[in-house]
Amino acid sequence: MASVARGSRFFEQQALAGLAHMRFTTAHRVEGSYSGRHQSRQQGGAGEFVDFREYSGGEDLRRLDWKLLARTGKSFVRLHQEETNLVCTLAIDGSESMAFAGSRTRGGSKLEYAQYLATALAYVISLGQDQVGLALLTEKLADHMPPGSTSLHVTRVMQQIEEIKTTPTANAAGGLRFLFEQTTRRGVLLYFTDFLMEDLDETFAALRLFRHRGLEVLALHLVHPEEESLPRGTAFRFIGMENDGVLNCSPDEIRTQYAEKFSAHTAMVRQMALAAGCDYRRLSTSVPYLQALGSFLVERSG
Amino acid sequence: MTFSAPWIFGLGIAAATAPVLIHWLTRPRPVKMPLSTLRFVREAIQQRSAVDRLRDWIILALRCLAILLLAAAFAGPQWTSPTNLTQDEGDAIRIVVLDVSQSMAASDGTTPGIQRARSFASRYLQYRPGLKTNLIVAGARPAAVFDNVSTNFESLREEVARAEVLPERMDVDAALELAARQLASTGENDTRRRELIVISDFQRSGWGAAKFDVLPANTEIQLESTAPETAPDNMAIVSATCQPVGAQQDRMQLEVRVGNFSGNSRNVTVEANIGESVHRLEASCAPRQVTLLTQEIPTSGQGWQSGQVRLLETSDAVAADNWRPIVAQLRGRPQYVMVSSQGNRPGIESSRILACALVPELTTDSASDRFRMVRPELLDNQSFAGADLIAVNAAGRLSPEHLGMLAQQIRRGKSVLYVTSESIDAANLDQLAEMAAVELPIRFAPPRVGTSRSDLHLVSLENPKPPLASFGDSLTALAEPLRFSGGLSIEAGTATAATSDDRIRATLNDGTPAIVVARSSSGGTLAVLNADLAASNMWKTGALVPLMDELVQELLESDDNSGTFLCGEPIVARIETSAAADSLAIATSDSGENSAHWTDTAGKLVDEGGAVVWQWSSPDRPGVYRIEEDRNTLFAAAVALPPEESDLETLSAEVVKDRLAAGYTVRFQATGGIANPDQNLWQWFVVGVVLCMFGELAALMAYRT
Repeated sequence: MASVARGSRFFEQQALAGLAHMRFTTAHRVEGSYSGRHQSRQQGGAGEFVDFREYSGGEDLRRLDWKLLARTGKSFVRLHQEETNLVCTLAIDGSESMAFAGSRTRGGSKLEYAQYLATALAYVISLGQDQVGLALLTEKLADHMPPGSTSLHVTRVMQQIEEIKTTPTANAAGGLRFLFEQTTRRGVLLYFTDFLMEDLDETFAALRLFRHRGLEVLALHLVHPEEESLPRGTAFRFIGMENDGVLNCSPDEIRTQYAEKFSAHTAMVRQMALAAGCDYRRLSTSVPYLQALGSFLVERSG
Repeated sequence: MTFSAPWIFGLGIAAATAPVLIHWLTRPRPVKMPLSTLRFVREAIQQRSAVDRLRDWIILALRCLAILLLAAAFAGPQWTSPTNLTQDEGDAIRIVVLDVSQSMAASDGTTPGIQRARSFASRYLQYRPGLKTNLIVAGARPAAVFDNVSTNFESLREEVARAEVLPERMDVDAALELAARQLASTGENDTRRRELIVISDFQRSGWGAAKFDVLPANTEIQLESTAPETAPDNMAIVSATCQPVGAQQDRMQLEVRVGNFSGNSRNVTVEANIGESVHRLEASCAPRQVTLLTQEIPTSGQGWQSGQVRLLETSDAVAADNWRPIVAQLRGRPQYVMVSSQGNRPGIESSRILACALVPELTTDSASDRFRMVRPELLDNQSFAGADLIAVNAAGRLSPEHLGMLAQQIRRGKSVLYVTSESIDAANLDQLAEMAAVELPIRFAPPRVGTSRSDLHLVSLENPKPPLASFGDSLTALAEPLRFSGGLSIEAGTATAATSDDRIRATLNDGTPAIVVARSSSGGTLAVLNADLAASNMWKTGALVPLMDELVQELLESDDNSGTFLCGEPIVARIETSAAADSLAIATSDSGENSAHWTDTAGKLVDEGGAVVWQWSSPDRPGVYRIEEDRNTLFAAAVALPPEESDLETLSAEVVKDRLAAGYTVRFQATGGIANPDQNLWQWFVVGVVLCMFGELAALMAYRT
């Protein structure tokens, strides 16, 4: 994978060299196309021996431990753990709210942060010989690349990530449902979003579908610092990013109420994510993405 | 409700918009910024609208209200609807009476009363259709600007602007009578509304007996008081006199009355500049009382002495009454003229005894330039020239012409001592008293035929009256050997209580008066010594000379307040001189100056029957005025402020409305707060301001974030 994605501006290979020894893992058993490092849901006879189990009629006689039958007169079958590769899908929220970059000129938007993070993750996943796919979610599935593991595929994924454009929309459930229909194998879904959609319940309902199918769902909640706390200043004219109008106000007068509202919202999102069986992680764009990614990978590696 | 200074309230309205304007002008230009979490902002604003926005509106409203209330308080709010009866429509006659008496100069510390009065008067002299008006400037001689009501409001307002305080009192009744003439109906068809506006301080001394009943019955009376809320403190010299003491007249008794018209006791120092000498009197003056300060001062020379007395280091409401001019006449030893038929007979004659009693240096063989004897048949107008006292003794039957001459002298303020030596004197006295307008306490009559008045002695010596009172404890020893003979009896039915009548100074044991002193309204005095001096033993006991000395001193005392006249009241003074009026001049040192200067605005001098009369119809400047001939003072007068103007106590609204002007439609508007509680309205506005501030504080605490 040394030759992937040199053309993407979000791919900082030198910076990611420090994370090259780390792998993106999952505790769930997955379904892969090829053999790999991850526990497969299949228990075949070529893998590592893990246990005996009493034979029952109809089972494959090739797995019967004849030697044990000869010594003891009892019939047991040998159990072996299959290992396969991981199938990851990077689902990125393409709503306009993801383009929020705050009032300061320096620093980027949530989308850029997601792009950096997704690119880096795609690189790390590909280093583990795992497959990575991409889905851009709006009201529908705006773009979808099925998982793949070739360097060319990863390069295309990165290019697609670089080319993501936001769309003014307030719904995300539709795109997730379309993605669900396109997903055939149990793997990991990494959902990059700010959860500022109006159909939050439907969105989590769609995420529950993935969980029911056996996919591990990682909800990566992106938060901009100026979303947590309104910018300093006496008067602002706030322009809604998803066609929700214009509002004049003095942030100092509503700072407390706003912070309470936003805090309540993030708490609710976390509760809903956990309730849906998703792994929830809140990411502030004020934290460098490499730092966030490193701690994330360390956490997962266990 | 109206405002004394509406422009201040207008300013307040402009100021009340200031918070809104300031907010609008200093409103920051908003920074445009896309925001992904706009719905949370909207929810926060909606939540704040229910609390903070209500707080903001409350605070803004309270602040604007506080500014308005403060402006209203400064603008002088007052309820005019119940205290103002003037209407803005219909035909009407309006007479404005403007008080310009001295008390209107009183200041409450900032604004003198006359300034407020001018403001009030101008307000009532504004043009409106159907209104005719006139202005009465009311001092001692109230005068209307126009003969009849007019529509020339401009001229009337100019007169108001020119009106100044005069050093005189207001003749309230004359002003009301003049107003009544202006308001009088011109006929049955005259149905115009009649309004009388009186602008005054309603001093108790001036208005206490005002008679409003001279006004037409349908007159509506608006009373505008310029008096401060509480009567300001005032100290004043209410009178100052200087009288010679003793027969030698080598000293004078200075008497100064200081009025303390305040609620506190005051220590005062009075400086008297009389002639070339300066004297100081000090005393503590009790509140609301007049204190008499006296001092005996030496005289310097004879003739007229003048000067002034002044309160030192006094700061009060009226400065004009802190000094007062003073004059005194040192006559020197008195000059006598005796009318008598005696003088030709040898032996002891009563006229000779009387002459020696009056002029002790006069002896049988010598004459004195202080004494002249005139026979009745030789009497004429020049007979009494230069005489301080006229004595009549044994003059026989006096003709009506001669009695008229004597009566004229009494009416001019001179004193006549009549000694009843003969029976005919009863008739002479009767006619003389009638002609001189002197009321004697009894009517004298000749002794009844067959009776003789002899060996009579004085009674009722327990309570002696002048001149006997001056003898004190030695009176009994003096009066015991005295025996009276001759004289007149009293007519039956005219007996009076001798002890209660001050005019009877001494009584004999037969009930007849021995000494009678009666004054005329013009100041002259008729004294009667009821005895035949030759038949009595008074001249033998040595009591006659001191007795006559005391009696003459009393008779020569003037009761005209030592030549003091009041500003605003006409002066008519007779100057006994043979010079013509043209050769005399009037010099004055008015306004408290010591240096004199000639003046031709202090009345006029007129020749009248061997004398010169000084006439000044309206003295308008206090000071000392001297009539001089070749720089010799023939007469001096002190023209002073009326003492009533120093007492600034005012009548309450109830007294004026309910007692003095009862029966009329009366509205009383006071500038102070006692008479009209509405004048305290500004204080309630200030309370409102404070409440608004507390309300703002409470709102901030209740909606604290």
